[in-house]
Amino acid sequence: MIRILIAILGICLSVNLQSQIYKIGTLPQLYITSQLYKDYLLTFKLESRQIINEGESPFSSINFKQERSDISAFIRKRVGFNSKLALGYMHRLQGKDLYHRWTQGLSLIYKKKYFNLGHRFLCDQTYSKAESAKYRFRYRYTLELPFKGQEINTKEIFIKLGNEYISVWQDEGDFEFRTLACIGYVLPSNTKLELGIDYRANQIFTDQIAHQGYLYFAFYLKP
Amino acid sequence: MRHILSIVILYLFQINILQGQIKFEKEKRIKEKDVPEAALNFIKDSNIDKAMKWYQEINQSGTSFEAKGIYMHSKHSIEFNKSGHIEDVEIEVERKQLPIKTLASIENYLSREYEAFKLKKIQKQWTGKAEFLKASIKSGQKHPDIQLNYECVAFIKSDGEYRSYEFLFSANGDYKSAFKIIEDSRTNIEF
Repeated sequence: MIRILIAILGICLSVNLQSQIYKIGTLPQLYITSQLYKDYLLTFKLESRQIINEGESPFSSINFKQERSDISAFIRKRVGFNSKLALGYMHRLQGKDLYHRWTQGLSLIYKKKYFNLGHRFLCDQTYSKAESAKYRFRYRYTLELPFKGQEINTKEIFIKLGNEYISVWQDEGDFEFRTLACIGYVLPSNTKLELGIDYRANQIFTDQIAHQGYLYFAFYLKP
Repeated sequence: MRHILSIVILYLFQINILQGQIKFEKEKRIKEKDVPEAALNFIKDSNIDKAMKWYQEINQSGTSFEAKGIYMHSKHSIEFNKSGHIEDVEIEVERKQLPIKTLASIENYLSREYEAFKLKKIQKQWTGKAEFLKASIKSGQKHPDIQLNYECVAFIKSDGEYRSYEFLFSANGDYKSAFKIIEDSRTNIEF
């Protein structure tokens, strides 16, 4: 099953076999959200990334390695009927290097007749002794729709689709594009599971476009 | 460090104490074979020829069954008690479909009671005898012996907090009751 999914990811990434870098892996995530005081929410996020294949071809040999582990905390506050502000901090361990990221964001969530629509605007700043500082501005829209019927209810499947556009500055400018497609399932007590594909492309305006494809699975828990 | 982490994890799992009347509702999708026959017969006798989704609902009043679907171009929710006898019919309507005086009365109440509000959903609610409700569903018009109320879901701002409430208003737009709604988590589209 893993080989089939890797093959699908590889096919998606095979746009042009000249001057491309490919990275394929897995991206498990865990989110735990708790209600604080009034309109304040605290979310902890654990994410790790494993690389299965990396090189100039998406079909080269499989070689599993743990690339990074992140732990993040976000405080969010509702500031309008559909909007929330967020401040976050991430601590990353990648190899022997530590990274620190500060995040500021605004999310707008709309419950439409047959789907939910989210817009997210983020600024983040990443610092590490291993690299120069990285600054990003990000916009993402996400659609969440029921697999069947008009509403997403408990014990039902849903589909989530999203595109993200990221402007990056680290010594020089770059642009990153991400797209996500997944299937989710709603468990009781507002718990959600998601499984899907996360595709990313950066270094778009250079001679060597970098493609990344991850098998993504996420667990959202709200105790 | 371990001590601090334990405190953080315990804090995340604390039970929040909520105040005020809360709309507690848990819905579970069920198959037609699990629905009481009386409820299935009501739908059949109402000439609803579209497929309805069935749910078992547990709320502050107890257990009930609900049929949801689109019929005559409107979203219908038909609720039955646990024996399958009809409780009410709710049909989603647009703001502009409400009588002007009724809408004005509802909006005046909300603007008087809260710092800000936004109407999210309005349903006209029909209650009464099964035979009159069936006739109303078939014709799309309220039978004279049916009671009409309006159930509104609104975002409100009160004491600086944003909340969702379900309000019940009479046919004239007079306030009857309100329940605070515990919202679905949207973390997966915010992150």
